[in-house]
Amino acid sequence: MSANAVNAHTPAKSPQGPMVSLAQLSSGARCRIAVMQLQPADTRLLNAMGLTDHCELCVCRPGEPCIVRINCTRLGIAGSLARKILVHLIDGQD
Amino acid sequence: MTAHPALTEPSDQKAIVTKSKGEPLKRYALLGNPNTGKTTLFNRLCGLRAQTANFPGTTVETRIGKCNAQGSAIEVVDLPGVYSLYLDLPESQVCEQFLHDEEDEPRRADAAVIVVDATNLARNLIFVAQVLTQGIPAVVALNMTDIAQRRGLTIDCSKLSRLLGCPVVSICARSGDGVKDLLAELPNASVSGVGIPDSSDSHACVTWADAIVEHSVGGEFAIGEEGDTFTDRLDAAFTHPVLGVLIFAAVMFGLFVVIFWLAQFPMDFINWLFGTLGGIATTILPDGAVQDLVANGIVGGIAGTVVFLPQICLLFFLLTLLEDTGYLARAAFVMDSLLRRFGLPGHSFVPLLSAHACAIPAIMAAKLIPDRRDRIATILVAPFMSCSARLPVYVLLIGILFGHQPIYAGLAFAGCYALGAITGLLTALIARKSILKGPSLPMVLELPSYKMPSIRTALLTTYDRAKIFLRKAGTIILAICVVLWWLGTYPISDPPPEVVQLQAQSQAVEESDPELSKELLTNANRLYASYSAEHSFLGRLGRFTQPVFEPLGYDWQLTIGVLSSFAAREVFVSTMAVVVSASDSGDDADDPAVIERIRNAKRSDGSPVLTPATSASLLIFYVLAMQCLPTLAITRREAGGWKWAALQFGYMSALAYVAALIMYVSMRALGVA
Repeated sequence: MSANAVNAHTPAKSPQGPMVSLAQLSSGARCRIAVMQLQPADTRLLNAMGLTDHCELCVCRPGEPCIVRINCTRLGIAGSLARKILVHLIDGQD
Repeated sequence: MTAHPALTEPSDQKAIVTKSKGEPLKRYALLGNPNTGKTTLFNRLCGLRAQTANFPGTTVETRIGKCNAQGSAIEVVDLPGVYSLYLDLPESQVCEQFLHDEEDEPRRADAAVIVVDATNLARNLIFVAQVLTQGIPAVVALNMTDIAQRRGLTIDCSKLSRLLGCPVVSICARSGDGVKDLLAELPNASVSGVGIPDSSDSHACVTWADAIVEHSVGGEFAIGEEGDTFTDRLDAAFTHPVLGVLIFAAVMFGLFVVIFWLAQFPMDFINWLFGTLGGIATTILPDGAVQDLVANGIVGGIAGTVVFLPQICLLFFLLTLLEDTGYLARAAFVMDSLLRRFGLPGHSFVPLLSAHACAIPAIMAAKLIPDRRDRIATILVAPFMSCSARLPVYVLLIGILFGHQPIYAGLAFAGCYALGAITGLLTALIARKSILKGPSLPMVLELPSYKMPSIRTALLTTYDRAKIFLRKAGTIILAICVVLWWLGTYPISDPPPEVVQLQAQSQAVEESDPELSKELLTNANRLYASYSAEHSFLGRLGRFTQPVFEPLGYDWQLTIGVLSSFAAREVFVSTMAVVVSASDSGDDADDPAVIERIRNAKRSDGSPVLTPATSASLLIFYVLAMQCLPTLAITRREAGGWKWAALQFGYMSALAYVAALIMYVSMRALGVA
């Protein structure tokens, strides 16, 4: 996945529906990672922590930090990073 | 259940051949993601039989211990927890080198023990794949199986073992369950022969890991987890922008109250013990250089080292407990938004706060900071925080400046603490934009499950930290203390005529007026102490370097005070008390008589040594200067070289000098001098 693949100012469309920023989701929302508009090193770190392409996650707490759950792992992500992670909502939630 | 196409059965399992007697012990490297219980397992295996050492050429720590496996001794290496072997981080590089460094054979591990969190198998398996593809024999320790069972997960270890191509043992490192089975399985560590996808293909790795989970894990919540509302509520409170800060402030306040309160008892005991030992040495040994060396140099030097131990032990014990509960990871987020403005991560807050007690444990606690640049920046600025050793100097100088104005004195105290903290934060900002320029690691943290802390782990960590401090820093600190004692004591001067005269007068009236005789002798001793201090190597150095401090308004007496307190700030008060021939026992800055005597000290031309301008200048100097050799020794160790210690000393000293000069010149210009 390449960094900056999507213009952050233009809501991107995909067959799975519109992509939204992880930071915009509310508590309990379930989503799939679409694009991470981050530095490659940051992307590698997030990948290694389990935030991989198309992985499913659940927002436990929006805001600063954004706390998400992937399987049984809870990750706290700084708001500045969460804003650059674009996701697809699952089941039309939120 | 049919096998997933991504999975194949092992084709070749090579068992390790046991080495014969005389050969080095077989070395097993513990590897795994952070928070998988790797260190708990290491402590369970090795207990106190472990040593911590920096990996050569890095500041990354590895712990090496020994234990018995099936009757034969083995060596176990606890490597840092990493999410991947291929991240651009020193910890990842150390782990990778440990597995297949061809150039430095002794570093290599004979086999890997990959510690895996059973509750988070999918992600952990990606790391397992990275290790297995290194071609090193391995055993997988499936930890936290008790928690996995409580969550309704069932893991088929034998199936998992077949799919991974190496032994898999279910353990609970915290309780010790399964650890014997793991030790029994170590000789069967094998190189995996299964088809493991290339680590560079993250999608293939994820698919492979998911397939293994699908085939080996069963249970109600095998995929995903039900919402944990209790954890959610705690997280919401602990990371809340207002409530989270209040909770954090309360926790830190409690932590430091406990440290300050509890540490004072062992510290007082240590001072008493070494004071007694020094007294015994003085009584037993004949007068002379050897007595002086033992009583003041060696015993005093050891006391100067050991006295820090209670604070270090308490800080690490309590921090380890807090970290073990899972709270510290949440607290790091609370302070992150504030400290990021100064180029530091939220992790820096605890070390910087603890630096107000003592910079030494604070610098050691900077190990909690994952990013190297952030860590070094924190280490560099920690001594700017006003530590407890500065208090006697503040009490003395603020007492001289605002002795009868408690409100101004209180404001001056607060100002000193604020000046140190603000200067430290601004220095961190400058450092992160210059010598430590570069991106910080993004603030992403795994938030471990909340759990009861392990006292055993906290005690072992405390023991480990105390040992490191005493071994590495203690030797340097002791050597420095002995050298400074020697400089301040030698050459031994003959008593000057005034002293000889007083001693003769004392002897003359010894029988007729014992009280007067004692008083005359005390005065003679004071004068002799002052004369000896002035004519010692340190005193001569003070006179030689006095021109450097003259622009700040310091005469030779103050210069000796500043130079002698290079070892430790609090020495300033006792040195000044001796140099101005105040009192042999007048080293207590809380004693108003000492403040009065130093306040009334005169220069050779009859003018006061401490004017308001020189006092204010000196106060600023002590807020900002790096007057603590033990701290420099610890900086060298923790930052990975003398260059950082030299930079810290040079920068802080230069800044202190310039700020003190500005204060002195400004006050004179305002007519306050």
